[in-house]
Amino acid sequence: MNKHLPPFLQHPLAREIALAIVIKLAVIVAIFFAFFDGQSVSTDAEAVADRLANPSQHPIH
Amino acid sequence: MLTEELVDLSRLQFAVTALYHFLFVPLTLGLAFILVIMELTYVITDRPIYKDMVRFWGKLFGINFALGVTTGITMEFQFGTNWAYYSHYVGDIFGAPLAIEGLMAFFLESTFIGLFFFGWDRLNKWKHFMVTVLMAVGSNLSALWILIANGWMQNPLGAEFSYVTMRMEMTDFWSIVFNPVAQAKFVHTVSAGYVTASLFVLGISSYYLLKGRDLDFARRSFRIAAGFGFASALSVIVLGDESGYTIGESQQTKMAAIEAMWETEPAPAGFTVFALPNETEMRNDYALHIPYVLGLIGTRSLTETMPGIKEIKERNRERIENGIQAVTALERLRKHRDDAAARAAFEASKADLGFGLLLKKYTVDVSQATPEMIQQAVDDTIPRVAPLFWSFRLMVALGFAFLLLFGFALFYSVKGNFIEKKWLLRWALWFIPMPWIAAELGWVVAEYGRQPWTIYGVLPTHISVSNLTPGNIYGSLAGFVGFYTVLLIVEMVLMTKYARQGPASLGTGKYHGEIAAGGALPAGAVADKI
Repeated sequence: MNKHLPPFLQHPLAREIALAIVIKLAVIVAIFFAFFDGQSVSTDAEAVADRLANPSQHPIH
Repeated sequence: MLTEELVDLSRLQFAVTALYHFLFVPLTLGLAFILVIMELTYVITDRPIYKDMVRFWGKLFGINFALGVTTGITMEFQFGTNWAYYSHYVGDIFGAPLAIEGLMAFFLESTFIGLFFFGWDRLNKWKHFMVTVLMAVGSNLSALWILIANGWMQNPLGAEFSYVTMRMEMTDFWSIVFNPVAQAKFVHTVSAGYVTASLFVLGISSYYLLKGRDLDFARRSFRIAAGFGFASALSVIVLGDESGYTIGESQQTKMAAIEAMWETEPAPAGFTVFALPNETEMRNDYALHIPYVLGLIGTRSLTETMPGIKEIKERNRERIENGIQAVTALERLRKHRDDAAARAAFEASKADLGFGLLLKKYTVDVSQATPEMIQQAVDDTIPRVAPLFWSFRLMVALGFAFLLLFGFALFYSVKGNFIEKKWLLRWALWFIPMPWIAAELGWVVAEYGRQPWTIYGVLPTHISVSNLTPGNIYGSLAGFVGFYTVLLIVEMVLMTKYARQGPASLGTGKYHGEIAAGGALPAGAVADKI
Protein backbone atom coordinates (compact mmCIF):
# COMPACT_ATOMS: atom_id res chain seq x y z
CA MET A 1 0.00 0.00 0.00
CA ASN A 2 2.83 2.35 0.87
CA LYS A 3 4.12 2.22 -2.72
CA HIS A 4 1.09 4.22 -3.80
CA LEU A 5 1.85 7.02 -1.37
CA PRO A 6 3.88 10.07 -2.41
CA PRO A 7 7.55 9.97 -1.32
CA PHE A 8 7.08 12.37 1.60
CA LEU A 9 4.59 9.96 3.17
CA GLN A 10 6.72 6.84 2.83
CA HIS A 11 8.13 7.18 6.34
CA PRO A 12 5.71 5.94 9.05
CA LEU A 13 6.39 8.97 11.23
CA ALA A 14 5.68 11.33 8.31
CA ARG A 15 2.32 9.61 7.85
CA GLU A 16 1.51 10.05 11.53
CA ILE A 17 2.41 13.75 11.47
CA ALA A 18 0.47 14.35 8.23
CA LEU A 19 -2.57 12.57 9.65
CA ALA A 20 -2.38 14.53 12.90
CA ILE A 21 -2.23 17.84 11.02
CA VAL A 22 -5.14 16.90 8.76
CA ILE A 23 -7.25 15.89 11.78
CA LYS A 24 -6.41 19.10 13.60
CA LEU A 25 -7.27 21.27 10.61
CA ALA A 26 -10.49 19.34 10.11
CA VAL A 27 -11.54 19.89 13.74
CA ILE A 28 -10.72 23.61 13.57
CA VAL A 29 -12.60 24.06 10.29
CA ALA A 30 -15.53 22.03 11.64
CA ILE A 31 -15.78 24.26 14.73
CA PHE A 32 -15.74 27.39 12.60
CA PHE A 33 -18.24 25.92 10.12
CA ALA A 34 -20.59 24.80 12.89
CA PHE A 35 -20.77 28.16 14.62
CA PHE A 36 -20.01 30.80 12.00
CA ASP A 37 -21.39 29.51 8.72
CA GLY A 38 -24.01 31.89 7.31
CA GLN A 39 -22.85 34.78 9.51
CA SER A 40 -20.84 36.57 6.83
CA VAL A 41 -20.96 40.34 6.78
CA SER A 42 -21.10 42.85 3.95
CA THR A 43 -17.75 44.53 3.81
CA ASP A 44 -18.29 46.98 0.94
CA ALA A 45 -17.58 50.62 1.71
CA GLU A 46 -21.26 51.45 2.26
CA ALA A 47 -21.78 48.63 4.72
CA VAL A 48 -18.71 49.60 6.69
CA ALA A 49 -19.76 53.25 6.63
CA ASP A 50 -23.15 52.15 8.01
CA ARG A 51 -21.32 50.27 10.67
CA LEU A 52 -19.28 53.31 11.65
CA ALA A 53 -22.42 55.44 11.67
CA ASN A 54 -24.45 53.03 13.76
CA PRO A 55 -22.52 50.08 15.14
CA SER A 56 -25.14 48.81 17.56
CA GLN A 57 -27.96 48.59 15.02
CA HIS A 58 -26.09 46.85 12.25
CA PRO A 59 -28.07 43.83 11.03
CA ILE A 60 -26.83 40.28 10.79
CA HIS A 61 -26.68 39.23 7.15
CA MET B 1 -27.17 43.46 17.69
CA LEU B 2 -23.88 44.42 19.30
CA THR B 3 -23.84 44.00 23.04
CA GLU B 4 -21.19 44.25 25.72
CA GLU B 5 -21.53 40.49 26.12
CA LEU B 6 -20.74 39.90 22.45
CA VAL B 7 -17.69 42.16 22.52
CA ASP B 8 -16.40 40.60 25.74
CA LEU B 9 -16.97 37.06 24.44
CA SER B 10 -15.18 37.83 21.18
CA ARG B 11 -12.26 39.23 23.14
CA LEU B 12 -12.26 36.21 25.43
CA GLN B 13 -12.25 33.80 22.50
CA PHE B 14 -9.30 35.56 20.88
CA ALA B 15 -7.43 35.80 24.18
CA VAL B 16 -7.95 32.12 24.99
CA THR B 17 -6.85 30.87 21.56
CA ALA B 18 -3.86 33.26 21.54
CA LEU B 19 -2.74 32.21 25.02
CA TYR B 20 -3.06 28.53 24.11
CA HIS B 21 -1.12 29.13 20.87
CA PHE B 22 1.65 30.84 22.77
CA LEU B 23 2.15 27.79 24.96
CA PHE B 24 3.70 26.12 21.91
CA VAL B 25 5.46 29.05 20.24
CA PRO B 26 8.26 30.09 22.63
CA LEU B 27 9.72 26.58 22.87
CA THR B 28 9.86 26.34 19.06
CA LEU B 29 11.54 29.75 18.79
CA GLY B 30 14.23 28.99 21.34
CA LEU B 31 14.85 25.29 20.96
CA ALA B 32 15.59 25.75 17.25
CA PHE B 33 18.61 27.92 18.11
CA ILE B 34 19.76 25.58 20.88
CA LEU B 35 19.71 22.82 18.24
CA VAL B 36 21.84 25.07 16.01
CA ILE B 37 24.42 25.49 18.80
CA MET B 38 24.50 21.75 19.53
CA GLU B 39 24.77 20.81 15.87
CA LEU B 40 27.49 23.37 15.22
CA THR B 41 29.43 21.79 18.06
CA TYR B 42 28.85 18.39 16.44
CA VAL B 43 30.06 19.42 12.97
CA ILE B 44 33.15 21.11 14.44
CA THR B 45 34.14 18.42 16.95
CA ASP B 46 32.68 15.38 15.13
CA ARG B 47 31.78 13.85 18.52
CA PRO B 48 28.69 11.63 18.21
CA ILE B 49 27.31 12.70 21.60
CA TYR B 50 26.49 16.13 20.16
CA LYS B 51 24.61 14.49 17.30
CA ASP B 52 22.66 12.49 19.90
CA MET B 53 21.91 15.75 21.72
CA VAL B 54 20.58 17.34 18.52
CA ARG B 55 18.45 14.28 17.80
CA PHE B 56 17.07 13.96 21.33
CA TRP B 57 16.25 17.64 21.92
CA GLY B 58 15.10 17.74 18.28
CA LYS B 59 12.62 14.98 19.10
CA LEU B 60 11.08 17.12 21.86
CA PHE B 61 11.16 20.09 19.45
CA GLY B 62 9.30 17.95 16.90
CA ILE B 63 6.59 16.95 19.37
CA ASN B 64 6.06 20.59 20.30
CA PHE B 65 5.96 21.70 16.66
CA ALA B 66 3.63 18.92 15.52
CA LEU B 67 1.19 19.62 18.37
CA GLY B 68 1.46 23.42 18.14
CA VAL B 69 1.19 23.87 14.38
CA THR B 70 -2.37 24.80 13.30
CA THR B 71 -3.22 26.44 16.64
CA GLY B 72 -2.17 29.77 15.08
CA ILE B 73 -4.50 29.24 12.15
CA THR B 74 -7.48 29.59 14.46
CA MET B 75 -6.51 33.17 15.20
CA GLU B 76 -6.19 34.05 11.53
CA PHE B 77 -9.65 32.56 10.90
CA GLN B 78 -11.04 34.61 13.77
CA PHE B 79 -10.06 37.88 12.12
CA GLY B 80 -12.68 36.97 9.53
CA THR B 81 -15.29 35.29 11.69
CA ASN B 82 -15.23 37.32 14.91
CA TRP B 83 -13.56 40.54 13.80
CA ALA B 84 -14.94 41.05 10.30
CA TYR B 85 -15.19 44.83 10.54
CA TYR B 86 -11.69 45.06 11.92
CA SER B 87 -10.54 43.00 8.92
CA HIS B 88 -12.25 45.27 6.46
CA TYR B 89 -11.21 48.48 8.19
CA VAL B 90 -7.49 47.66 8.44
CA GLY B 91 -7.13 44.42 6.48
CA ASP B 92 -5.13 46.01 3.66
CA ILE B 93 -2.41 46.88 6.14
CA PHE B 94 -2.73 44.16 8.75
CA GLY B 95 -3.13 41.39 6.16
CA ALA B 96 0.16 42.15 4.39
CA PRO B 97 2.59 41.01 7.13
CA LEU B 98 0.36 38.01 7.89
CA ALA B 99 0.48 36.95 4.23
CA ILE B 100 4.26 37.44 4.08
CA GLU B 101 4.59 35.36 7.25
CA GLY B 102 2.66 32.49 5.69
CA LEU B 103 4.35 32.60 2.30
CA MET B 104 7.90 33.31 3.37
CA ALA B 105 8.61 32.36 6.94
CA PHE B 106 6.18 29.56 7.74
CA PHE B 107 6.83 27.73 4.47
CA LEU B 108 10.59 28.08 5.02
CA GLU B 109 10.30 26.80 8.57
CA SER B 110 8.00 23.89 7.69
CA THR B 111 10.07 22.76 4.71
CA PHE B 112 13.29 22.68 6.67
CA ILE B 113 11.67 21.01 9.67
CA GLY B 114 10.87 18.10 7.33
CA LEU B 115 14.48 18.00 6.13
CA PHE B 116 15.75 18.28 9.70
CA PHE B 117 13.95 15.12 10.80
CA PHE B 118 14.22 13.02 7.67
CA GLY B 119 17.49 14.30 6.23
CA TRP B 120 20.02 12.71 8.63
CA ASP B 121 20.77 9.85 6.23
CA ARG B 122 20.47 11.92 3.05
CA LEU B 123 22.56 15.02 3.81
CA ASN B 124 26.15 15.36 4.93
CA LYS B 125 26.66 16.95 8.33
CA TRP B 126 27.36 20.47 7.05
CA LYS B 127 24.30 20.44 4.82
CA HIS B 128 22.20 19.13 7.69
CA PHE B 129 23.58 21.87 9.89
CA MET B 130 22.51 24.45 7.30
CA VAL B 131 19.03 22.91 7.32
CA THR B 132 18.87 23.39 11.11
CA VAL B 133 20.02 27.00 10.76
CA LEU B 134 17.35 27.71 8.12
CA MET B 135 14.71 26.04 10.28
CA ALA B 136 15.67 28.31 13.20
CA VAL B 137 15.76 31.40 10.97
CA GLY B 138 12.37 30.46 9.48
CA SER B 139 10.67 30.07 12.84
CA ASN B 140 12.08 33.39 14.05
CA LEU B 141 11.12 35.15 10.80
CA SER B 142 7.62 33.86 11.38
CA ALA B 143 7.62 35.62 14.73
CA LEU B 144 8.99 38.78 13.11
CA TRP B 145 6.11 39.18 10.64
CA ILE B 146 3.46 38.34 13.21
CA LEU B 147 4.93 40.90 15.58
CA ILE B 148 5.10 43.50 12.82
CA ALA B 149 1.35 43.00 12.42
CA ASN B 150 0.85 43.16 16.18
CA GLY B 151 3.20 46.14 16.54
CA TRP B 152 1.07 48.03 14.04
CA MET B 153 -1.99 47.44 16.24
CA GLN B 154 -0.09 49.06 19.13
CA ASN B 155 1.46 51.89 17.12
CA PRO B 156 -0.25 52.39 13.75
CA LEU B 157 2.23 54.04 11.40
CA GLY B 158 2.37 54.24 7.61
CA ALA B 159 -1.41 54.29 7.04
CA GLU B 160 -4.27 56.75 6.86
CA PHE B 161 -8.06 56.68 6.70
CA SER B 162 -9.68 57.16 3.29
CA TYR B 163 -13.19 58.60 3.35
CA VAL B 164 -13.69 57.25 -0.20
CA THR B 165 -13.21 53.58 0.68
CA MET B 166 -14.12 54.05 4.35
CA ARG B 167 -11.10 52.15 5.61
CA MET B 168 -7.46 52.54 6.50
CA GLU B 169 -5.02 52.35 3.59
CA MET B 170 -1.30 51.76 3.59
CA THR B 171 0.84 54.79 2.76
CA ASP B 172 4.31 53.55 3.71
CA PHE B 173 5.09 49.84 3.88
CA TRP B 174 8.60 50.33 5.27
CA SER B 175 7.49 52.43 8.20
CA ILE B 176 5.18 49.51 9.12
CA VAL B 177 8.09 47.06 8.82
CA PHE B 178 10.49 49.26 10.80
CA ASN B 179 7.88 50.37 13.34
CA PRO B 180 9.97 50.79 16.53
CA VAL B 181 7.27 49.14 18.66
CA ALA B 182 7.24 46.08 16.38
CA GLN B 183 11.02 45.80 16.37
CA ALA B 184 11.25 46.10 20.14
CA LYS B 185 8.44 43.55 20.58
CA PHE B 186 10.13 41.13 18.20
CA VAL B 187 13.49 41.04 19.95
CA HIS B 188 11.84 40.95 23.39
CA THR B 189 9.50 38.12 22.38
CA VAL B 190 12.09 35.90 20.71
CA SER B 191 14.46 36.44 23.64
CA ALA B 192 11.65 35.24 25.92
CA GLY B 193 11.41 32.17 23.67
CA TYR B 194 15.15 31.55 24.06
CA VAL B 195 14.79 31.76 27.85
CA THR B 196 11.88 29.30 27.74
CA ALA B 197 13.82 26.75 25.70
CA SER B 198 17.00 27.20 27.74
CA LEU B 199 15.15 26.57 30.99
CA PHE B 200 13.42 23.58 29.39
CA VAL B 201 16.81 22.02 28.48
CA LEU B 202 18.40 23.10 31.77
CA GLY B 203 15.54 21.66 33.84
CA ILE B 204 15.36 18.31 32.07
CA SER B 205 19.17 17.99 32.13
CA SER B 206 19.02 18.73 35.87
CA TYR B 207 16.50 15.90 36.25
CA TYR B 208 19.02 13.45 34.73
CA LEU B 209 21.80 14.82 36.91
CA LEU B 210 19.66 14.51 40.04
CA LYS B 211 18.85 10.92 39.07
CA GLY B 212 22.53 10.27 38.37
CA ARG B 213 21.89 9.00 34.83
CA ASP B 214 23.20 9.95 31.35
CA LEU B 215 25.68 12.24 33.10
CA ASP B 216 27.86 13.10 30.11
CA PHE B 217 24.83 13.87 27.94
CA ALA B 218 23.11 15.91 30.66
CA ARG B 219 26.27 17.82 31.64
CA ARG B 220 26.89 19.03 28.09
CA SER B 221 23.23 19.94 27.59
CA PHE B 222 23.20 21.78 30.91
CA ARG B 223 26.26 23.87 29.97
CA ILE B 224 24.87 24.90 26.60
CA ALA B 225 21.51 25.80 28.16
CA ALA B 226 23.23 27.75 30.96
CA GLY B 227 25.29 29.87 28.54
CA PHE B 228 22.51 30.48 26.03
CA GLY B 229 19.98 31.01 28.81
CA PHE B 230 22.10 33.58 30.63
CA ALA B 231 22.58 35.64 27.46
CA SER B 232 18.88 35.33 26.67
CA ALA B 233 17.70 36.26 30.18
CA LEU B 234 19.95 39.30 30.06
CA SER B 235 18.67 40.32 26.65
CA VAL B 236 15.02 39.75 27.57
CA ILE B 237 15.43 42.25 30.42
CA VAL B 238 17.41 44.79 28.39
CA LEU B 239 15.08 44.49 25.41
CA GLY B 240 12.05 44.58 27.71
CA ASP B 241 13.40 47.90 28.94
CA GLU B 242 13.68 49.02 25.30
CA SER B 243 10.09 47.88 24.82
CA GLY B 244 9.14 50.02 27.84
CA TYR B 245 10.84 52.99 26.21
CA THR B 246 8.95 52.64 22.95
CA ILE B 247 5.71 52.10 24.86
CA GLY B 248 6.48 55.36 26.63
CA GLU B 249 6.65 57.16 23.30
CA SER B 250 3.59 55.78 21.58
CA GLN B 251 1.42 54.36 24.31
CA GLN B 252 1.72 56.54 27.33
CA THR B 253 -1.67 55.32 28.49
CA LYS B 254 -0.46 51.75 28.79
CA MET B 255 2.65 52.84 30.64
CA ALA B 256 0.69 55.00 33.09
CA ALA B 257 -1.70 52.10 33.77
CA ILE B 258 1.15 49.60 34.22
CA GLU B 259 2.68 51.97 36.76
CA ALA B 260 -0.60 52.98 38.44
CA MET B 261 0.67 56.53 37.93
CA TRP B 262 -2.40 58.71 38.50
CA GLU B 263 -0.67 62.08 38.64
CA THR B 264 2.04 63.48 36.38
CA GLU B 265 5.13 63.36 38.55
CA PRO B 266 8.09 65.71 38.34
CA ALA B 267 10.84 64.30 36.10
CA PRO B 268 12.33 61.77 36.41
CA ALA B 269 9.36 59.78 37.73
CA GLY B 270 9.88 57.07 40.33
CA PHE B 271 9.20 53.39 39.72
CA THR B 272 6.45 51.90 41.88
CA VAL B 273 7.65 48.57 43.21
CA PHE B 274 4.49 47.80 45.14
CA ALA B 275 1.14 49.55 45.41
CA LEU B 276 -2.52 48.96 46.10
CA PRO B 277 -4.20 50.78 43.18
CA ASN B 278 -7.57 52.29 44.08
CA GLU B 279 -9.26 52.80 40.71
CA THR B 280 -12.44 54.36 42.11
CA GLU B 281 -10.63 57.21 43.81
CA MET B 282 -7.78 57.28 41.26
CA ARG B 283 -4.98 56.96 43.77
CA ASN B 284 -2.79 54.29 45.34
CA ASP B 285 -3.74 53.35 48.88
CA TYR B 286 -0.17 52.31 49.57
CA ALA B 287 2.91 52.66 47.38
CA LEU B 288 6.62 51.92 47.55
CA HIS B 289 8.73 53.90 45.05
CA ILE B 290 12.28 53.76 43.73
CA PRO B 291 13.14 57.31 42.69
CA TYR B 292 14.09 58.20 39.08
CA VAL B 293 13.88 54.67 37.64
CA LEU B 294 10.62 54.95 35.67
CA GLY B 295 11.56 58.30 34.16
CA LEU B 296 14.86 56.83 32.94
CA ILE B 297 13.18 53.71 31.51
CA GLY B 298 10.29 55.56 29.93
CA THR B 299 11.98 58.66 28.56
CA ARG B 300 15.77 58.03 28.67
CA SER B 301 16.01 61.48 30.18
CA LEU B 302 16.28 63.20 33.56
CA THR B 303 14.14 66.16 32.55
CA GLU B 304 11.26 64.77 30.47
CA THR B 305 8.03 64.15 32.38
CA MET B 306 5.74 61.16 31.90
CA PRO B 307 2.04 61.96 31.97
CA GLY B 308 -0.13 60.45 34.66
CA ILE B 309 -3.57 58.92 34.07
CA LYS B 310 -5.45 62.09 35.04
CA GLU B 311 -3.49 64.19 32.54
CA ILE B 312 -3.92 61.57 29.81
CA LYS B 313 -7.66 61.55 30.43
CA GLU B 314 -7.83 65.31 29.98
CA ARG B 315 -5.86 65.04 26.73
CA ASN B 316 -8.17 62.28 25.57
CA ARG B 317 -11.20 64.42 26.38
CA GLU B 318 -9.89 67.06 23.94
CA ARG B 319 -9.28 64.38 21.34
CA ILE B 320 -12.78 62.96 21.79
CA GLU B 321 -14.27 66.43 21.38
CA ASN B 322 -12.18 66.96 18.26
CA GLY B 323 -13.13 63.46 17.12
CA ILE B 324 -16.81 64.47 17.21
CA GLN B 325 -15.96 66.99 14.45
CA ALA B 326 -14.23 64.22 12.46
CA VAL B 327 -17.16 61.79 12.73
CA THR B 328 -19.70 64.51 11.91
CA ALA B 329 -17.68 65.67 8.89
CA LEU B 330 -17.27 62.07 7.73
CA GLU B 331 -21.02 61.50 7.84
CA ARG B 332 -21.54 64.67 5.80
CA LEU B 333 -18.88 63.54 3.31
CA ARG B 334 -20.59 60.21 2.99
CA LYS B 335 -23.74 61.92 1.80
CA HIS B 336 -21.99 64.54 -0.37
CA ARG B 337 -18.52 63.54 -1.52
CA ASP B 338 -17.98 67.00 -3.07
CA ASP B 339 -18.77 68.94 0.08
CA ALA B 340 -15.59 71.04 0.31
CA ALA B 341 -16.39 72.40 3.78
CA ALA B 342 -16.95 68.88 5.13
CA ARG B 343 -13.71 67.71 3.53
CA ALA B 344 -11.77 70.58 5.08
CA ALA B 345 -13.35 69.89 8.48
CA PHE B 346 -12.54 66.21 8.17
CA GLU B 347 -8.93 66.83 7.13
CA ALA B 348 -8.49 69.15 10.11
CA SER B 349 -9.78 66.63 12.63
CA LYS B 350 -9.19 63.18 11.08
CA ALA B 351 -6.29 62.38 13.45
CA ASP B 352 -8.92 62.08 16.19
CA LEU B 353 -11.50 60.10 14.21
CA GLY B 354 -10.93 57.01 16.34
CA PHE B 355 -11.54 58.99 19.53
CA GLY B 356 -14.82 60.26 18.11
CA LEU B 357 -15.84 56.68 17.32
CA LEU B 358 -15.48 55.80 21.03
CA LEU B 359 -18.74 57.67 21.56
CA LYS B 360 -20.59 55.30 19.20
CA LYS B 361 -20.84 52.96 22.14
CA TYR B 362 -23.18 55.45 23.80
CA THR B 363 -24.95 57.31 20.99
CA VAL B 364 -25.71 56.93 17.30
CA ASP B 365 -25.37 60.65 16.64
CA VAL B 366 -22.10 61.69 18.27
CA SER B 367 -22.80 65.37 17.59
CA GLN B 368 -25.54 65.03 20.24
CA ALA B 369 -23.26 63.41 22.82
CA THR B 370 -23.94 64.65 26.34
CA PRO B 371 -21.16 65.60 28.80
CA GLU B 372 -21.95 62.33 30.65
CA MET B 373 -21.39 60.30 27.48
CA ILE B 374 -18.13 62.13 26.81
CA GLN B 375 -17.04 61.43 30.38
CA GLN B 376 -17.85 57.73 29.93
CA ALA B 377 -15.80 57.66 26.72
CA VAL B 378 -12.93 59.44 28.48
CA ASP B 379 -13.03 56.86 31.30
CA ASP B 380 -13.03 54.07 28.69
CA THR B 381 -9.67 55.24 27.30
CA ILE B 382 -7.86 53.93 30.38
CA PRO B 383 -7.61 50.14 30.73
CA ARG B 384 -8.16 48.67 34.17
CA VAL B 385 -5.07 49.40 36.21
CA ALA B 386 -4.81 46.55 38.73
CA PRO B 387 -4.53 43.60 36.25
CA LEU B 388 -1.84 45.45 34.28
CA PHE B 389 0.01 46.58 37.38
CA TRP B 390 0.27 43.06 38.83
CA SER B 391 0.81 41.18 35.55
CA PHE B 392 3.72 43.44 34.70
CA ARG B 393 5.34 43.11 38.12
CA LEU B 394 5.04 39.34 38.19
CA MET B 395 6.54 39.13 34.69
CA VAL B 396 9.46 41.38 35.66
CA ALA B 397 10.06 39.47 38.90
CA LEU B 398 10.18 36.20 36.96
CA GLY B 399 12.56 37.80 34.42
CA PHE B 400 15.03 38.65 37.19
CA ALA B 401 14.59 35.19 38.76
CA PHE B 402 15.58 33.65 35.39
CA LEU B 403 18.65 35.87 35.23
CA LEU B 404 19.64 34.79 38.73
CA LEU B 405 19.09 31.10 37.97
CA PHE B 406 21.06 31.20 34.72
CA GLY B 407 23.73 33.32 36.42
CA PHE B 408 24.28 30.60 39.02
CA ALA B 409 24.06 27.87 36.38
CA LEU B 410 26.69 29.57 34.21
CA PHE B 411 28.94 30.39 37.17
CA TYR B 412 28.98 26.79 38.42
CA SER B 413 29.29 25.50 34.84
CA VAL B 414 32.47 27.52 34.43
CA LYS B 415 33.68 26.28 37.83
CA GLY B 416 32.76 22.76 36.76
CA ASN B 417 30.96 21.75 39.97
CA PHE B 418 27.29 22.32 39.14
CA ILE B 419 26.52 18.60 39.54
CA GLU B 420 27.20 18.95 43.28
CA LYS B 421 24.76 21.88 43.60
CA LYS B 422 21.56 19.92 44.18
CA TRP B 423 19.63 23.07 45.14
CA LEU B 424 20.47 24.58 41.73
CA LEU B 425 19.41 21.42 39.88
CA ARG B 426 16.12 21.27 41.81
CA TRP B 427 15.53 24.99 41.20
CA ALA B 428 16.06 24.49 37.44
CA LEU B 429 13.75 21.46 37.37
CA TRP B 430 10.86 23.05 39.25
CA PHE B 431 11.22 26.33 37.38
CA ILE B 432 10.51 24.75 33.97
CA PRO B 433 6.90 26.10 33.73
CA MET B 434 7.82 29.64 34.81
CA PRO B 435 8.92 31.11 31.43
CA TRP B 436 5.54 30.14 29.99
CA ILE B 437 3.80 31.99 32.81
CA ALA B 438 6.02 35.04 32.25
CA ALA B 439 5.36 34.99 28.49
CA GLU B 440 1.59 34.74 28.95
CA LEU B 441 1.67 37.61 31.45
CA GLY B 442 3.65 39.63 28.90
CA TRP B 443 0.87 39.14 26.35
CA VAL B 444 -1.74 40.14 28.93
CA VAL B 445 0.17 43.38 29.53
CA ALA B 446 0.58 44.05 25.79
CA GLU B 447 -2.98 43.28 24.69
CA TYR B 448 -5.13 44.07 27.71
CA GLY B 449 -3.16 47.31 28.02
CA ARG B 450 -4.21 48.32 24.49
CA GLN B 451 -7.91 48.43 25.40
CA PRO B 452 -10.32 49.99 24.47
CA TRP B 453 -8.71 49.79 21.04
CA THR B 454 -8.04 47.08 18.52
CA ILE B 455 -5.88 49.60 16.65
CA TYR B 456 -4.55 52.05 19.17
CA GLY B 457 -6.16 55.46 18.69
CA VAL B 458 -7.77 54.41 15.39
CA LEU B 459 -10.42 51.73 15.84
CA PRO B 460 -12.31 50.99 19.08
CA THR B 461 -12.78 47.33 19.99
CA HIS B 462 -16.58 47.55 20.19
CA ILE B 463 -16.79 48.57 16.51
CA SER B 464 -14.38 45.85 15.35
CA VAL B 465 -16.45 42.77 16.20
CA SER B 466 -18.68 40.81 13.84
CA ASN B 467 -22.43 40.74 14.36
CA LEU B 468 -22.83 37.32 15.91
CA THR B 469 -24.96 35.90 18.62
CA PRO B 470 -23.35 35.11 21.98
CA GLY B 471 -24.43 31.49 21.37
CA ASN B 472 -22.09 31.29 18.34
CA ILE B 473 -19.17 32.30 20.49
CA TYR B 474 -20.06 30.22 23.54
CA GLY B 475 -20.24 27.14 21.30
CA SER B 476 -17.03 27.76 19.38
CA LEU B 477 -15.20 28.83 22.53
CA ALA B 478 -16.15 25.58 24.23
CA GLY B 479 -15.04 23.69 21.11
CA PHE B 480 -11.63 25.38 20.98
CA VAL B 481 -10.98 25.12 24.70
CA GLY B 482 -11.87 21.42 24.61
CA PHE B 483 -9.80 20.69 21.50
CA TYR B 484 -6.78 22.71 22.60
CA THR B 485 -6.87 21.14 26.04
CA VAL B 486 -6.68 17.72 24.38
CA LEU B 487 -3.68 18.92 22.33
CA LEU B 488 -2.03 20.27 25.46
CA ILE B 489 -2.57 17.04 27.39
CA VAL B 490 -1.16 15.00 24.48
CA GLU B 491 1.85 17.34 24.34
CA MET B 492 2.53 17.04 28.06
CA VAL B 493 2.10 13.26 28.07
CA LEU B 494 4.49 12.84 25.11
CA MET B 495 7.02 15.35 26.46
CA THR B 496 7.02 13.70 29.89
CA LYS B 497 7.30 10.23 28.35
CA TYR B 498 10.30 11.08 26.16
CA ALA B 499 11.95 13.33 28.74
CA ARG B 500 11.79 10.46 31.27
CA GLN B 501 13.11 8.03 28.68
CA GLY B 502 15.93 10.43 27.88
CA PRO B 503 18.47 9.85 25.11
CA ALA B 504 17.71 6.13 25.35
CA SER B 505 14.68 6.93 23.20
CA LEU B 506 17.10 7.38 20.28
CA GLY B 507 17.83 3.67 20.36
CA THR B 508 21.59 4.04 20.00
CA GLY B 509 22.28 1.48 22.76
CA LYS B 510 24.53 3.87 24.67
CA TYR B 511 22.28 5.39 27.28
CA HIS B 512 20.54 4.77 30.60
CA GLY B 513 18.29 1.72 30.49
CA GLU B 514 19.88 0.42 27.31
CA ILE B 515 23.30 -0.23 28.86
CA ALA B 516 21.73 -1.90 31.89
CA ALA B 517 20.00 -4.31 29.53
CA GLY B 518 23.34 -5.38 28.11
CA GLY B 519 23.13 -3.09 25.11
CA ALA B 520 19.76 -4.43 23.98
CA LEU B 521 17.49 -1.70 22.67
CA PRO B 522 14.17 -1.04 24.35
CA ALA B 523 11.13 -2.23 22.45
CA GLY B 524 9.91 0.23 19.83
CA ALA B 525 13.03 2.35 19.93
CA VAL B 526 14.63 1.16 16.70
CA ALA B 527 12.19 2.49 14.16
CA ASP B 528 11.95 5.80 15.87
CA LYS B 529 14.07 8.08 13.75
CA ILE B 530 13.70 11.40 15.53
